[in-house]
Amino acid sequence: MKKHFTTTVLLALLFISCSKDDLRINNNIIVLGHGGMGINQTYPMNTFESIIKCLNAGTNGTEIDVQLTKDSVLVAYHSKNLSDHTNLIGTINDFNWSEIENAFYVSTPYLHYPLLSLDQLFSNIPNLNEHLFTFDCKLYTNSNALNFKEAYINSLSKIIDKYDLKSNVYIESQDTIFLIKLKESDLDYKLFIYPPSFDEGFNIALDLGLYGITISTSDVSREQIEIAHSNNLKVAIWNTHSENKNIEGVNKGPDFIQTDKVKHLVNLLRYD
Amino acid sequence: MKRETLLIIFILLCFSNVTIAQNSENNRTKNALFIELGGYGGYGSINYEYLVKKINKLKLSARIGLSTYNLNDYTNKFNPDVIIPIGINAYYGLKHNIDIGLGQTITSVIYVDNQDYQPKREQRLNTNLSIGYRYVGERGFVFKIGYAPIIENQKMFRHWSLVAFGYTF
Repeated sequence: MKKHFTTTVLLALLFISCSKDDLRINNNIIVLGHGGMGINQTYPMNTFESIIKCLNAGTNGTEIDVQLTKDSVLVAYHSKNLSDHTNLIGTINDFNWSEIENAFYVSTPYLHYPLLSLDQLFSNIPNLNEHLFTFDCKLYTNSNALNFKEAYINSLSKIIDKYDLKSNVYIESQDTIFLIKLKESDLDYKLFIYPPSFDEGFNIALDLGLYGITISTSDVSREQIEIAHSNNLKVAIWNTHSENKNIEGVNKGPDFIQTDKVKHLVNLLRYD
Repeated sequence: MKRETLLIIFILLCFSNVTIAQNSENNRTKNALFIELGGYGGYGSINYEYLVKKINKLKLSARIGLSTYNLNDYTNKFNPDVIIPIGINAYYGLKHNIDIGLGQTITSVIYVDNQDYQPKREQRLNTNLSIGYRYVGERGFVFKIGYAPIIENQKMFRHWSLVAFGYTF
């Protein structure tokens, strides 16, 4: 019995030491939740409940998906179609805020969490300036794209100014024109390109003088992140939807990880 | 709402027979404990079922269960969501049963209050329907599978299904 116990303890110690050796800890990585606590949680992404739980979990902050209503209210919502997760049909930009504020998520039986405007969110986060936020700007619209982008930037600037968020907000987009216009509106915004490939994003970020690149952890290597760093570009990775992906992401040495496994990453980086 | 309340009262009356009937020696296989995946409890629930009436191949039973989604609320305080499915089921058959059920699920879930943005508990009543198949093995093993739509908050229809495993005793 004693022999078995000793063997088990030795094996456990061996396993733990292997795990630590495999992990290149960089405690400077900024931990952000993905829309709060991430995908496939009982709290849907981008709800007040999910975001506050994430901020209470020891993260530095959270990524938020941001869309614009017809009457220029910024709403936290991920997908293009409201019908993917809520009781409404259409896009956020098809509705005024008064039509959306009573909508609710329907992903899980019995749970009807409401949709959230950024104004509602930021006016109710305690110690707001202690947290970091990445706005993933989703530019879904059926109207004139140029006017829409101008209205979007105007609303974004207003909310950042209203809550004095400039120093703790990062803004990411897949749309180069949108990023150029944002940079023209304020040189101090920390802008990230969210490209289909690292090389494309790297070139755009250098050309436009952006703050960094946001990319799926599957589409970037440690070497590419080092190249970005040597060119003064920050790298944010996402799509770390499992504990192994968190470890893989940490080992690549990015500046930010937008994780779907919040508690695991916090424990990995803050307590190991 | 009145109709749902009456249904709940009826189901609870069925359970009130349990204490009287359990004194009988013949009641040993009238009880069942089962775990339901999907079904009335949402993602899953643990349930107790009591056979209320048996007429030849037709059996009528009442069930009550418990489920949750979150034990702590979003501020990390212990403040669990509580889901209590209750219902009645009619079974036809001996080993292989046709299973038809009707019930109400009481949900008490923590949401953010849109006035002060603090956690607030909201109670709702939801209707459950089910139709499926039940197998009862010789050693008391029970298996169920079925279609179990939910009418959430008595307004929103959701297609849903169930698989359950348990034992009679």
